[in-house]
Amino acid sequence: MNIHIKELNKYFNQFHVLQNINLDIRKGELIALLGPSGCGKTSLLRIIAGLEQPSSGQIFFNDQDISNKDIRERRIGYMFQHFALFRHMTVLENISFGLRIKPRKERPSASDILAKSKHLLDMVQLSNLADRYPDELSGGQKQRVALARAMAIDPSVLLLDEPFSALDTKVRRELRQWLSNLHHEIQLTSVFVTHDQEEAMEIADRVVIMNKGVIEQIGSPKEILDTPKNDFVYHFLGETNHFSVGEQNFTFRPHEVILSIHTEKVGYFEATAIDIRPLGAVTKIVLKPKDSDYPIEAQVPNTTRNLSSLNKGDKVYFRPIMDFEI
Amino acid sequence: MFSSKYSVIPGFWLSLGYTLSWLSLIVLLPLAALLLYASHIHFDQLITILSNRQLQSALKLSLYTSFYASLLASIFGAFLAWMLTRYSFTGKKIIDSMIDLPLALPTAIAGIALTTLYAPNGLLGSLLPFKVAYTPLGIIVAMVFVTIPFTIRTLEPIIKDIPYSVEEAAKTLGATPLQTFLYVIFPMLFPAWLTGFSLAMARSLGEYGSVVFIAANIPYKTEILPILIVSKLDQFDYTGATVISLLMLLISFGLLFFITIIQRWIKPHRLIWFMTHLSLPFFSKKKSS
Amino acid sequence: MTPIIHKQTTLKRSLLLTLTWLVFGVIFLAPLSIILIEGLSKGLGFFWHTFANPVALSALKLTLFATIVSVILNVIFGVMAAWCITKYEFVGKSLLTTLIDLPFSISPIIVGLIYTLLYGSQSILYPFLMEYNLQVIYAVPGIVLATIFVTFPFVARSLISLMQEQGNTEEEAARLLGANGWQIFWLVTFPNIRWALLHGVTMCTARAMGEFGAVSIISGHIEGLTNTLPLQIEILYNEYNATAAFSISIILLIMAMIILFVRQWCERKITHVTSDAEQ
Repeated sequence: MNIHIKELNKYFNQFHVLQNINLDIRKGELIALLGPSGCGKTSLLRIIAGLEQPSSGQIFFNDQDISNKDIRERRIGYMFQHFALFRHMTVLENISFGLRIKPRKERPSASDILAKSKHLLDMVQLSNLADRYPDELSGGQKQRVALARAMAIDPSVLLLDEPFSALDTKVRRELRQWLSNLHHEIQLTSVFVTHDQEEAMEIADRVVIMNKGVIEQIGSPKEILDTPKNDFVYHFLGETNHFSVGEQNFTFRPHEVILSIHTEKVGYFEATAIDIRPLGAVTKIVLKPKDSDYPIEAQVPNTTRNLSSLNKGDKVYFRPIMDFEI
Repeated sequence: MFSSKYSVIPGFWLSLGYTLSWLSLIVLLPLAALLLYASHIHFDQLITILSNRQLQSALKLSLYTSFYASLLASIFGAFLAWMLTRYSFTGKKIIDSMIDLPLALPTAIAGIALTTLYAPNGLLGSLLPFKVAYTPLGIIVAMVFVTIPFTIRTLEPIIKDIPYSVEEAAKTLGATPLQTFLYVIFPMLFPAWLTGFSLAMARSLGEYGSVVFIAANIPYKTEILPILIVSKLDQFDYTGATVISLLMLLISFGLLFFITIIQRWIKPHRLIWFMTHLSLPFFSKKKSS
Repeated sequence: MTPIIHKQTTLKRSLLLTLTWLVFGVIFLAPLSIILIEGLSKGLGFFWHTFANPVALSALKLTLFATIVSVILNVIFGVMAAWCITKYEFVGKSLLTTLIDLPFSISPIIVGLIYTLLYGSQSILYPFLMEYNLQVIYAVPGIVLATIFVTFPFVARSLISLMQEQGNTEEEAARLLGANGWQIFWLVTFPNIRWALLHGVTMCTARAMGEFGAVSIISGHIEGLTNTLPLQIEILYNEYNATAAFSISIILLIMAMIILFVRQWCERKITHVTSDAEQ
């Protein structure tokens, strides 16, 4: 199913939280809504789900306007930030909930419900935990139960609100990859909200960068990284250094710099190394440029020649590689 | 129009409609009857009732007894709340589970029990060198009994929230126990303490069941406002009873308003500012040493 | 769990503990033991005899009736009010919350008065009530109404504080999975709030069975017809039959203890649920 959002606006009291949003989501795509907190990404997701109503604008599912349709007719698979599992029901009861509550005419037989729930449990690899209660599960297990529960109603689209934020770093990485693989398998149109650019870049087909209620840029991770449309997108995607000499301004990422300790070449600027931190594959060096009060950060591979002979307080010459001039 | 935010959870109109209807039927309609009745009272009638000496002495006694009762209840309450949260000792569970008994025990029973206990020939009354039952002191005792749970229960969560490390931090910074109490513990507890005090006072003012037995209703001596209302009603003097009720409502709403102000305005940092500007003697002495 | 004061000198500690038990003993224990001592002072035979009396039995029946009716009605109201206040945003919500709490700050005596003014002989409603032969004041309906008034906020309050903490996401999730309003309440909300509901019910029951001031004004003290147990206690006490009064008190005291026990049990259950929610 493809989703088409047309001239959508949302006001909360006086706040214009979503401003003229236009967005096309293609069938089978995995889309990330990325932005800092308060940018309106969660509101947009909740409006697509039907949990909130837009102030104006339309939403189409497969060319059908569903803006005024009841939330239950939309068949949304929605995963809440803290999973919202029913804590008094077992894992199996949670997953089968959407099937058990169907009106009698549409409800599958008890054995079909059980079979389908078991199948979903297998899919999320939790077959051995069917009779556990949510508070007996780890964060990652809870997340997978929430996903299975959402999938039980054969959703037309899967919406995930900060799906990894409640998990610790290690589990987050594993589940990210798992979710990405699962998406490839089932090819269900999916939208997820995140404030973590690494997460968005790693698994999304396309990324929608939002800021203060507007969409700043839409594109594949590569497009966005290579050709950021504006200052905000550039800054949001990673750490940046600013450096200016006279009329010249330089903005560059920590890894976009070449260091030299030997000579004063053209295009190189003088600085003092004030801190050196080996971080594994790279080494972080904090430089204090001679003509600037603001330190800049450089990250160089630790295979760089002569790196080991560099000491705190030494003179270093640096050259920004990519001149993203503003 | 009424609903300013869309919600997908059904039942808004049903629940709001039921709530408003039931509220109106049980609470608002009878209160409206009071106001309607009061609106028929003439101004000179009002003056006559309010200037009645019996009413004035009952008002004074009510304010006086409920103030002292709340003060005592909130002091004893603070002590028990502190002991219950900060100490562990045998029998603590028993105390803790019985704190709420005055809230669950019918007030009339509290009344007859305290009267029997403090009567001149009673178990405690005979031991004491002064009279308690049938005096204002007896009224205070009854009020303390019914209000002490409020003062304990408002303070307990606040005391629990003060980590012991805060006191240790004050100690490592060189504060004496007294300074720790005055500048660290007291400002944190005071707003809740005052809230407990006001709750206790509001409850004491309207208390009847536990007080009526121990007071013995001697006009000018142990007659408080609720007892006066009852005696007016016994004489079918609805006008007098209405005026006194409005007076009591005015006082208790004043107290409620006071509680809201406390919760909004009295914050620990404001108290600390206030206390450092008091320049208490021991504080300056510590400075000079 | 409880942080224990370190390096406490034993003298100071035992002094504080003695003081604690002294305060507790005088304020709490002494009145309670008096009830037991006085109530059983003429032996168990007399104690049972008090209840063989038809007047006492009818008072017990009326107390139970008023308590049960007011608890049921307050439960329905409490659930409706809590649902309305915690699930939606609307103009005037804080005013509504204040109004629901209002009965707590009104003296029981005033409650008695306002119901007398509304339904009594000087009310404009009175001729209308007489036409349908509806006696409210000095009759059972008035007693029930006054009891509902004094216990009005209990259930709503315990539900509101818990439901606010729990938030709405489980209900939203159920809605997205296709549940209707009835299913959301019974399958998702109710299992989460049942302990808070029972908690509200215990306090409501305690207050309802013990209400004295409001009921004493409205009842008219007709023995065998409009007397509740607390009023019966008052009558016996004033007739210098203190032992009988205390015998009845023992029964109510035991009921109060049971109620407190159930309430504390509920409180433990509730904290258990909320700590799960925080994980």
